[in-house]
Amino acid sequence: MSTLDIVDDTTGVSLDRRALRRSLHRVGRRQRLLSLSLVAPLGAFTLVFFVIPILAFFVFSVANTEVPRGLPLTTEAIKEWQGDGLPPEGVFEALTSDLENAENRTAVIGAARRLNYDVAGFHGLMTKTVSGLSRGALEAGAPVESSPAPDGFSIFGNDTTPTESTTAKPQTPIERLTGIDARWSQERYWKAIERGTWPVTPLYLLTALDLRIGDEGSIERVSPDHRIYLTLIARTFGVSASVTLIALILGFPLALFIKRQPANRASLIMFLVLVPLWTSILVRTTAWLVLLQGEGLLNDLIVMLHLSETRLPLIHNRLGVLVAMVHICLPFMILPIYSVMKGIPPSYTRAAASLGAAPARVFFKVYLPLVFPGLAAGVLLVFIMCLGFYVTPALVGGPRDQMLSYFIAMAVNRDLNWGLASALSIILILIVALTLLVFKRFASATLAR
Amino acid sequence: MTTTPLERIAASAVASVAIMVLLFLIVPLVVAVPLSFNSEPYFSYPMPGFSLRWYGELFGNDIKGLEWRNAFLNSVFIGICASILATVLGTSASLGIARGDLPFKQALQAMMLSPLVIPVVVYATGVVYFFARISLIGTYSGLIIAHALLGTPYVLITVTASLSGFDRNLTKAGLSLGAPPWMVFRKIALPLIAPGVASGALFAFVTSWDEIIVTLFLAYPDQQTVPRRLWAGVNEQLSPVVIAASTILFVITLGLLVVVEVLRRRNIRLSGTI
Amino acid sequence: MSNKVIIGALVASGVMMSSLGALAQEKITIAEWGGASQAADRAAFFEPFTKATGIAIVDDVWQGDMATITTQVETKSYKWSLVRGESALVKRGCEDGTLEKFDPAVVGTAEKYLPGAWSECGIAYASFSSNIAYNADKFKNGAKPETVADFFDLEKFPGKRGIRRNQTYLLELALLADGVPPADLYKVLSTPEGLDRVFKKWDTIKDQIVWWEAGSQPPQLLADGEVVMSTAWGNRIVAAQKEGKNLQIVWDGAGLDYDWFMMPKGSPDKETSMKFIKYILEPENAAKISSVAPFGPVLKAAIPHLKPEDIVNLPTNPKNSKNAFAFDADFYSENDAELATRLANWLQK
Repeated sequence: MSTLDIVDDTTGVSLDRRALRRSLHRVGRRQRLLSLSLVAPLGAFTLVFFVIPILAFFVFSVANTEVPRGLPLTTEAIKEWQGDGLPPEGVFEALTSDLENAENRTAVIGAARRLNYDVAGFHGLMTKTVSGLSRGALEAGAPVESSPAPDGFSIFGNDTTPTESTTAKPQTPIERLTGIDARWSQERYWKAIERGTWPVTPLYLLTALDLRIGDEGSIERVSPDHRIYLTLIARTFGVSASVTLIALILGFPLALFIKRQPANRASLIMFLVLVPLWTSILVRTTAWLVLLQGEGLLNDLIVMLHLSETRLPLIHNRLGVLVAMVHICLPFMILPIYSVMKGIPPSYTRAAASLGAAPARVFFKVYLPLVFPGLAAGVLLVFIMCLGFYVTPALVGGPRDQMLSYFIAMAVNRDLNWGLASALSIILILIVALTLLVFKRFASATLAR
Repeated sequence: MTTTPLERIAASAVASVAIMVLLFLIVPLVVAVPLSFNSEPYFSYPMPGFSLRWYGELFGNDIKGLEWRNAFLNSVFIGICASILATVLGTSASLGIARGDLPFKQALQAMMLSPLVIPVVVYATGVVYFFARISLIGTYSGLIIAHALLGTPYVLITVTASLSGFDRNLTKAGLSLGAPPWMVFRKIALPLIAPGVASGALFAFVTSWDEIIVTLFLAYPDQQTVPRRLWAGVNEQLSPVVIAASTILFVITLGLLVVVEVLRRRNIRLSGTI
Repeated sequence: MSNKVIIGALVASGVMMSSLGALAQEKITIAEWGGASQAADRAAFFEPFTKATGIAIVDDVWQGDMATITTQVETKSYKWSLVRGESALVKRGCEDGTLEKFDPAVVGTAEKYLPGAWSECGIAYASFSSNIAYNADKFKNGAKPETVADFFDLEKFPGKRGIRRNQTYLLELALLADGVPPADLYKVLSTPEGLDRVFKKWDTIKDQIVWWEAGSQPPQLLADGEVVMSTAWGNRIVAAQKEGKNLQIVWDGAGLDYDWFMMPKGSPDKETSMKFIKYILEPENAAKISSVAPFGPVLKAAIPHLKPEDIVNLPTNPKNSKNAFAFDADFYSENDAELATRLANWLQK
């Protein structure tokens, strides 16, 4: 505790100025170190288990290691190719040896998967070629003579003819490859391999924006039936904005209402607002499924009251997603608005009214600007929450209601396309960051006013 | 106060909208509850009869009941561990930040709060690869770490908030009287910030308790949690058992909230009389 | 909060941890497909196996995303010891090198199995069918759906259609309804025009489709009346019939396939898993699956163990398989990535 003694002593006892400054400096540094060591555990925890995994994940969006790993000889050989016409025979030969290398099969398939992201059908071409090459090498093993099985159990009916004609083995690598599949004589497949040998690739980020590198080397839009990601980004934005707006329109009156209630009733209503907030999202989503299904409770009610002859599609569409999302987001809108409202002394509006302002004018010119920070906080909170929604649209939405999060998960779980998942994540984070930035500017601008 | 007719209309309009919104918030939560007591596996009213068979399945001794109970234990265990971890780390960091002389304060704070704004799916996909590389995938530790991480910002916020009204001279006084720092923390600081720590811990627990996305990515069959089972139930077969489990969760939530509310009122009363 | 609370919480979680640990015993995890077919495996194989050997079987659920197996193999973090799946998945996993190869000395060679039911990367153990099914209560008066074409006929049979959100069976169904004979399916599908034809056909009923992903959904969708017709796995419909639901199978245009067990490459549970594989390859054990659900046997030696009543509902029974086709594993393993993207993109339009 000597440090504190010195601090306390500074007031009374005269000390050498330089020594004092030095010891103050030392004390300050020790104090700062203490602060830092208190923060360090969480800082390190967040860094190691949050920041680093996410940054490492982002690297996937430009990583381009699959082709060099799966096709090392081809990667080397294709450097010689100028890019016009078919590559020289040496490249064909290199590819043949790469594909025949059974030790490296997993990496070859990894390269095939990567090339398929660039040119659709490449994976099929590669697996076909790999099995074509190995069949050629085996010179077609004798078909297994199987003893006859009783009728009525084979999925192939009862006449099985598993014969396969084998063609004569072609001579040159070019003939071998193009003999297995004629696509090997098309330049675009070789160009895709060449792009796969670049140190980094723009492929995934371009894909996420519905763009690709054309065969001429320029950036172009993908064919219309592959254009899905810009729509997806717009949808994510649109759904989030709609939910935020609806939550605002519904939440504001409720907050206003609570504010006007006597304290006891207000806290009871707040309790009712908090109950859904603390209830598991899955429990709430389950409830909506039961309510909104075609044979669900709401439709039962609609038919019972003869509001509609047929049952209405309320779920697995945009309507269901909006309803369920608004339900989840509403408390997050109400809480900040209400807490700001609570802090506004009624004397402000009373003063304005007593000065002769019309009620509407009081509301819009005095009250609303006062509540504005609460509105802004609610809108920001809800909007950012919505951007990342996954569970609710996945459970109550149809295929055309899914948002960016769903496609990120699908890219990883179904397609093993880490690059695309990463690129879509970057876009999602950029939208979040942009929103925060805009709000910050907006908030400081209104505060300045 | 005098009111004009227009104001009265506006007020009643606000009131009617507010009540509808309130119904919108509450009704969906309770309307499904009775269906868990339905004697038939259908989701419609009127119910043909009353039965506890779906709860029987949850508490039964066959594999389904076992799985649900295991999931419940997992959720509680992971939730408690994650909450303790988040609370310790978050409280310590809040104390460091509140001292006011932290270098790189802005950047550190932004980093530690970033789990709040990064969409969870992005985190889940990022962490699944990372955790697989360091053999944390499909382990309790991995799930606890990831869940704790998502809870730390809440602890940070609540404890920082309770520290903002905290007079640092109190600890200075304690220290200058010769008390060791740990004692000063326990006897002076902790009781004062305890409500903040407690609500932070509660937030962290609920974050883990309700977490599904990271769990979907990281958990192996051994670590099935209640939300994971609900997810499977909703995705595969929406049976009354799922509604029964939901109802139990809902009742637990309700109970917790009532306890919190009663404590809060008691606090207000006590601090009012002192 | 006092120290006592913290210590109490730690002790409590410690106790809980040890109670979780007590559940640990020798066990394997098998990825299944949920619902009735999982229950069939459990009844026919898992429970008797556990009773016989004391080895526990944990079952998980997956939906056929091979990527999930690849990730486990690449990161050497194994979630599943064995995985159930159809022929195309085995073929693809085998080509991709993500599946363990079985020792023929243990599992036997091709002549022990029915045609097409042998691979070095998997053990075929059952035949099953993809079908169209309908809720007979919805068609009480008047015609009932009988052909694949009826599935697309919204005028004759109005109402929602349930379809699996997957290329398998979706492609074939459209072409069959369009008049392509079963034998030519994959010839047509291998051309770009054939695929265009598929999606043009689906465009005609696109807004009436309810998509399902888990196999236990269609019986429920049908029983709840959410859809009037749905694609479904036949055995699930039979299971729903046993529960008293009035669901019926349309045997026209049935898609036949084998069910396999495969092992992620490098699985640490290999030894234990092989005990299970050996168990289900005993002919009398293998035949058990046909008595609990309409799964056909695959092991030739198991066929004599079948009871006559087991054969009636088998998808391979000639009375059922008249207009059936077998899924082409080669076609799917070769084009899977492309087809999945094509379907996903079409869904977004």
